Amino acid sequence: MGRFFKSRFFVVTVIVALILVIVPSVLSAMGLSSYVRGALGMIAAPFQHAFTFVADSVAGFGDYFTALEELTAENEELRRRLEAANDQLYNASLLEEENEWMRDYLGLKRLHVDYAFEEATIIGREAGSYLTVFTLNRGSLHGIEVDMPVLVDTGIVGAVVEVGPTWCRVKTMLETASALGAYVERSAQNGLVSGSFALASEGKCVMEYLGADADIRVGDRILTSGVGSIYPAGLLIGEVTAVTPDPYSRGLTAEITPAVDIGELRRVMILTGFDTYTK
Amino acid sequence: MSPQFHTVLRKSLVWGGMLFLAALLQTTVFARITPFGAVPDLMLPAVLAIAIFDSERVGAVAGIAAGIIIGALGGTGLNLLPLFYMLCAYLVGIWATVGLSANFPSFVVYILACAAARSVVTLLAVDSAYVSYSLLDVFPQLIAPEFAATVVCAPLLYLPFRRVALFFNRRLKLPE
Repeated sequence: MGRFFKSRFFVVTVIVALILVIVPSVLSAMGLSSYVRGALGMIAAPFQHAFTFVADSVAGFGDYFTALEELTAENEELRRRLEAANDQLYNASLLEEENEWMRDYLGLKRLHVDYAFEEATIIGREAGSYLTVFTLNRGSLHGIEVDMPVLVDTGIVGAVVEVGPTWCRVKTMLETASALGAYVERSAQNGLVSGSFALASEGKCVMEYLGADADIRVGDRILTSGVGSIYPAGLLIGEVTAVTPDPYSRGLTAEITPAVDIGELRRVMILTGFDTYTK
Repeated sequence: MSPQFHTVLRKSLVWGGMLFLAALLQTTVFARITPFGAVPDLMLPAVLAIAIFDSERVGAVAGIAAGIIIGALGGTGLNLLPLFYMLCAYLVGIWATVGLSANFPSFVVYILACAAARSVVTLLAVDSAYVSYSLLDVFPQLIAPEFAATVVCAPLLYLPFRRVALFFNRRLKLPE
């Protein structure tokens, strides 16, 4: 074995190797490049370019799966966050709606300090198309009685006609059998607002018992007169949208568009008590 | 020119071309696709294969050439690789003659031993390149990954070099 390391070949090879270690290292330290390195680099350049292209393609193919896995995980995380954000958004919109409701409620309370309210939610509507009757989630256990007015901050809705322990049924002013005393805010002209079968599909009602010379015109606001004692006086019913002669009474009939969009209602206030209320 | 010269010339071109190819792979493909996060040393198994399948002298010359090639394609600063590859190839070539044979398990044993020695060379290179460093950082981040990558990728070169050696019909001990 020792003869291998004592051979001339080994000694010469080691010396050559040492020279090839020291010289390029010195040249590199001096910032110079040997001719051999330069020539090899120049020859290898196009091959390195081709091999690098292949390597990038292979690595890119692998990156596709890695990225796909990462993207899938990121997608799941973003989907989860989106669902949470949607839930938050929905809750925020509910809170905003309730906040607005409470603000309107407070406004109405400030305007009529003698009013006592019971908040209720519409839980059922009439199966027909005229939106004249709906069901609320309050009943006798909450102090609700028949003939109690139902309203929102913008105006009246109707009155309670039937009461259960935890529910009540409300007939809106669009119902043909309902009638309430009203007056024109501008001219104090009295009349009677009731439902109309012909106009109920349009969400409108009529004001009748107006004289031929009654001072009423389109755009007039109609308020409750308090006559009949179901509704307190001064609550907004709606606005006059048409005035036509009544062929039967030779007086006038006014078409009223309610101030409240009954079709869009979800929450209402039941007026459980006010100063002028009598049974 | 004599037939022997033609053989030497042909062998030089073939082994040199294969070393060049291994260097290209090491500095392009495996510089992009890094097993264990490190670039494997493909020149080491290449010169060991030449030493095993040809002779210790051809392996030694191939080792010097491999060191020059890889230094030209991807090295800067102190380059001990010509000396290192030469010594490894010469020793392994001798051991393949007097000790273990030239089969694959022997090749793996040679690779393990020389890759461990390669780690020392890498450490010397780090020491010459950096003013201060911590062995606790260098070992897990560089030494160990390079060792693992070299050992894992080395078998890829066994069969190609064996095929070429069969072509030259030199000192190949095939199992019966």
